[in-house]
Amino acid sequence: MTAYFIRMLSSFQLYDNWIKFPLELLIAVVLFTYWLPRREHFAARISFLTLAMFGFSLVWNLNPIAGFWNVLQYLFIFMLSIVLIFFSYKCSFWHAIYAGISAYALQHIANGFHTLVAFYIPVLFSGSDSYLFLSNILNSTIYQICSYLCSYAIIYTIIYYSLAKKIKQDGFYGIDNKTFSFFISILLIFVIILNYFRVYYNDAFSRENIIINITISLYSIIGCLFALLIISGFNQQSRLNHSLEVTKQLIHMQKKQYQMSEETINLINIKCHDLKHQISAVRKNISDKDSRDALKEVEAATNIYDSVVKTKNETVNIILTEKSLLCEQNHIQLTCMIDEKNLSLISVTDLYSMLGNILDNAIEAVLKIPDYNQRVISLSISSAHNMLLIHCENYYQSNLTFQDGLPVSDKGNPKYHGYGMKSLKYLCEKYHGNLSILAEDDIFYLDILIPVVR
Amino acid sequence: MYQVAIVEDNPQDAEVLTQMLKEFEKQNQVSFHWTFYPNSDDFLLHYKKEFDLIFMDIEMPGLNGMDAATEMRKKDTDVTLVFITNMAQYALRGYSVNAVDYILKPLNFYSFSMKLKKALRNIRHHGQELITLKTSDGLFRISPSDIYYVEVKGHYLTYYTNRGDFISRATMTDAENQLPQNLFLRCNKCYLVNASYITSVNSSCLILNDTEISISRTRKDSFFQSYAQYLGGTV
Repeated sequence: MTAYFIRMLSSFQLYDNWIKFPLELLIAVVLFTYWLPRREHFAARISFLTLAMFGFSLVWNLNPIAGFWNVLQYLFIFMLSIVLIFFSYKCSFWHAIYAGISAYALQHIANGFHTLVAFYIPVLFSGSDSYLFLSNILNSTIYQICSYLCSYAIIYTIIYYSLAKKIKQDGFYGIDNKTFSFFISILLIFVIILNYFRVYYNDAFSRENIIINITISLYSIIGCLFALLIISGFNQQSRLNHSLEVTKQLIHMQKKQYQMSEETINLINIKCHDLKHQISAVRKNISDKDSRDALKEVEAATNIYDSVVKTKNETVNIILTEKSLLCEQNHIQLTCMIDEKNLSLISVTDLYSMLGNILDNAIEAVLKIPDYNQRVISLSISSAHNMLLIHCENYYQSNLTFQDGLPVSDKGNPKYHGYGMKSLKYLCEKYHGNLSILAEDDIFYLDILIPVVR
Repeated sequence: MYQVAIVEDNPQDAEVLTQMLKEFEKQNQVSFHWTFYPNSDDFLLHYKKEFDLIFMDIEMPGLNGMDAATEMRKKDTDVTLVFITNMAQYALRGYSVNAVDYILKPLNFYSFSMKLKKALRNIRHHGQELITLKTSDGLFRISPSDIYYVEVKGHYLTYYTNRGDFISRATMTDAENQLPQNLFLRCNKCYLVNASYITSVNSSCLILNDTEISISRTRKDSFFQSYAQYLGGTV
């Protein structure tokens, strides 16, 4: 055994046999998982499992199985990588599987690319004269190391920026269709098997075999690329489905809120009305001027809802009442110009939801401004030329980020960013209208145009 | 230079308003010429259609601002009107006199600035000068409000107007520069439409004088943005 070790150490065989694959796979895994939240004792877990992977590779290759079944080592190391992901990061087991598959696919593409570009293709395109000359270069250490590092770097970078980063930004939403997942796994196992034929069965550099090897490499690269794209595509799909579900839920919740709001405001109005009468009655019987004045103040206080804007549209009244109290508490100046003429176009809950979202957005933006004088919101609803226009402008201070053309709020759960806006867009489209947003010179403008159809 | 009328009975408030106008001029590179009226009677007495913008205080002795505005509108439907008030309620009726917005007292510059910008967008719709069209039959002067839309075909533009169609050798860019930008909207590569003649719009096309014109996908967002601004301005 010692002799074996000594022979190995003196060549790249050491690297090739037991470090290369686990190391490449591990780097690929990192690219697809580094942003995930970590479990406790992360360092210990990941070190242990990394050593396990390398250890497994070493032990296996001390006594490699002859022939075809040697490829099983790749399968086992791949499974170990999934275990590594699941035990080191806080994620679901399915997520670990998909990350593992993605990493394996990435490693495989890089591997195929490297062999194609560094070995097969150059040899294929040389006549027998230059073959000798080329093989000297191809065998030189510097060339081997450079081509290896470069081709892997290129592929890993391209795939990271085009696919992995997206999953990092969007989050992992799972892949709903379990059948497709099954097929992807089969695809990958097939790829592993295909590669056995490339690696083991041929005298790699004879001309016919080179063509076979190039073909096999190309097929497996394409297969792996497919797997990656499918995973990415399905994740996108799941994200959009999730998004739609949340939007619908929001609207449903707002419906409940509307009912509660309406009841509350009506209740308070009735109470206030009663109180006013009682105070009036009491006031008549008091002759002391100071007491009368004090009572007048109390009476004024019961006008709490009366003093707020009243239009002919009940929904508008309710939402404006709600929001203007909130504004008053926060030193926000809210002004409204409302022509409720065509508002009946929009259903009560939808209107409540729309105006609620618009005002919530504006309020959230101005609340960030420390100077009370700048907390100004102006809302107007009007009709002209068969179009209903809802226009809201307000100051804003923080930096706005946009996703899918809509601004994203930075409060609350990151997975629920910007749902107010999404729900607004959804409702606009429901009424065949259009939502436009403009942010210019510290003022945020929001316009909703809805065609008036009779 | 915008002609501004300030109808305000309280001299301190009038002074504050003036200061804010001066500050706005500096920050936004515009200039105003203002005239004071301490009450609405003086204002209405010799009213002439000479103003671009009117700041009208609502709470005034005698005829209040809202009623004064109603009287004024009988003589002038074009001028841009902004109310100044202590109370929010009155402003809801602002749309009946075509007011652009209202400003709450005590005046603060941020609120003033935001609403004045809105008012100015409105003003730019009115007071259009005649433009000149160069056709093979000679020169024609026409008001932009008489033009329904402009179509480009090759090197020629066709102006469809209420005085007939005119063909001029020019580019669409020439037309866009010549015509008021907030009134004329580019809805697709070949058409420039006058927003005031649009009778209905949906997400893919608009109808103007019984002609259907499509809205291209690339211009859709900017078209709706501009159209919303136009509609916001005219009310």
